[in-house]
Amino acid sequence: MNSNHPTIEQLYQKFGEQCARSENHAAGMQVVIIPKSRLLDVMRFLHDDGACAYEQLTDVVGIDYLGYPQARKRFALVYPLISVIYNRRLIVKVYLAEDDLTVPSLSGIYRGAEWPEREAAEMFGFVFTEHPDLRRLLLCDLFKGKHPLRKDYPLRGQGERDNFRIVTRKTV
Amino acid sequence: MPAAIEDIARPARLEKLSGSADTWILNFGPQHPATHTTIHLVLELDGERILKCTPHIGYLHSGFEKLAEHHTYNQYVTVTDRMNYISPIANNIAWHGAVEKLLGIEITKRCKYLRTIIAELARIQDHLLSVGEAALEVGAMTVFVLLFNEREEINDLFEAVCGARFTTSWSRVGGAMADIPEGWTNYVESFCDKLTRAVDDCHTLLTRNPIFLERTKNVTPTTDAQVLNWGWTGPVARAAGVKRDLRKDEPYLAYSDLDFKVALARSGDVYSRYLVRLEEIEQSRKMIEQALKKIPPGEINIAADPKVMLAEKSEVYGSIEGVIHHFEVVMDNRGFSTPVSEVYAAQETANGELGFYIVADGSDKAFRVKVRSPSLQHLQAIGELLRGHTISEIVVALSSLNIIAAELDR
Repeated sequence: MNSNHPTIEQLYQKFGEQCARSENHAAGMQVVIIPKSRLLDVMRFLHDDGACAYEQLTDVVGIDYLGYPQARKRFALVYPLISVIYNRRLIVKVYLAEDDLTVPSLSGIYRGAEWPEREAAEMFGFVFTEHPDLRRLLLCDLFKGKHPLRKDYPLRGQGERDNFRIVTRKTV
Repeated sequence: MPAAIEDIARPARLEKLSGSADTWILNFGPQHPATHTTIHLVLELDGERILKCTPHIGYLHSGFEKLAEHHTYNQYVTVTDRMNYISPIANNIAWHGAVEKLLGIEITKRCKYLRTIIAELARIQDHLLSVGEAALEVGAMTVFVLLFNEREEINDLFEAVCGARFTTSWSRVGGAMADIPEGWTNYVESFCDKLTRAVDDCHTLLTRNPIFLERTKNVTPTTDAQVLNWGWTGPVARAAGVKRDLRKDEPYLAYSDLDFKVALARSGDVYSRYLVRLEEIEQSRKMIEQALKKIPPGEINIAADPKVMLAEKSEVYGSIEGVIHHFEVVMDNRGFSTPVSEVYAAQETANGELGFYIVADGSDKAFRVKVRSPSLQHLQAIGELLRGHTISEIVVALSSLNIIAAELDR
């Protein structure tokens, strides 16, 4: 496999066939797909290795591929990384099947993963293992057990809006 | 005198641990005038010292990302206005920058220059508020009013370009809704002159002001390794010595043609964030002055051929072809088609890296959009930042991070 990205070469050498390059992206983007079981190893390597030195995790992007043309699996998690020293970007992608949404948390490597992971967890229902604090981040209690950014969740919600408790002077 | 300030040990020694018997809990926010936004901090205090700070957010959650799946790429620009409401037009430009990267469109050179100038005006607009707010939190009302005047001027400039001061929605896929009006560049030039004076005044009033120094120096200091790990970008990261600026590192629009420096500081405290922002205002002004001289003539929008660009309004109202063209672009079952592909594109906005991860499924609506908003990454560190500080330092720290609740809560 040929690639111009030095880090991807390194990943091939270290993790071999388990890393696959994704082609389904806009020009100039470097994306590697890895299996969930190697996520922590790969991220630890990308963060610690001197020649990779990806110091920053930009974001954690959850995607629900329900109804998407050419979907591999129902869900995916995308981790865009930045190496400030080398001025490089790399995107690591993990596909997840609907019946197993547990993923190791990256917050032990990148503290910046904490809130984006909490957000992905409440919006899609991922379970990040060993996350220090996986409370819901943005949504109120009415959304317990619901995952609004999934594709099968309607735009106008499931009646949460009508169930808000109305506070009047008397109830207070 | 300022020299003595260095001796004040900060963060102060914590004499008690969180959970001790005589600590007390204070709810700071969600509707507190000093936070400026709806942020809820639960503070565990020993007297005035913060032992533990637990942030709660989400009070302004409006489902931006879900909305993106139900708006076309052109319509969604109205939602991006509402993300960072301090510099909305920069979000417009970042959003359509991402969409154009997805579609593989190269915009015209004139459009690149205009977008650059306007994005820089938006950066100034944002930093003016942020610096003014930092001053306001420590009681310097004059600076706030002084800088707010200049912000008003920028709003006027935007109004002249797109008809709105605030909800600008200026950019379009492949161009913009309107070219700049005649004489606009002269107004921008005279604004730049006035801005220099305002920034000078600000330096005179604050930069060596002992009260300001005492309130901001060594408050929430950070190191470069820390801020990188937290995911910080933009002026707050540069204040801690991280030399990262997408305008330099991944030049987009017309930035590669312009001569500017990246503002950097070392100590990563509130004071260095203030200094970095003021220097960025100065650099942005220089960029604008250079770019104004170089604006190329010609069309602002790309040719109508790829059928992604809306027709000119005069065409739509004046000719049958124009109507058909407009119809083809906006109708639900027509629209333009996108590749089945994914893209991540980021631009350096006033607060840091504003990125959009777009999953496109071939239709003219995004399948999934993830907004990478800088405020979320900045605020998640607040608990650790504020430990050992006093209540009065909360507002100073918050204003220096320039937390925008709308992009924080999406």
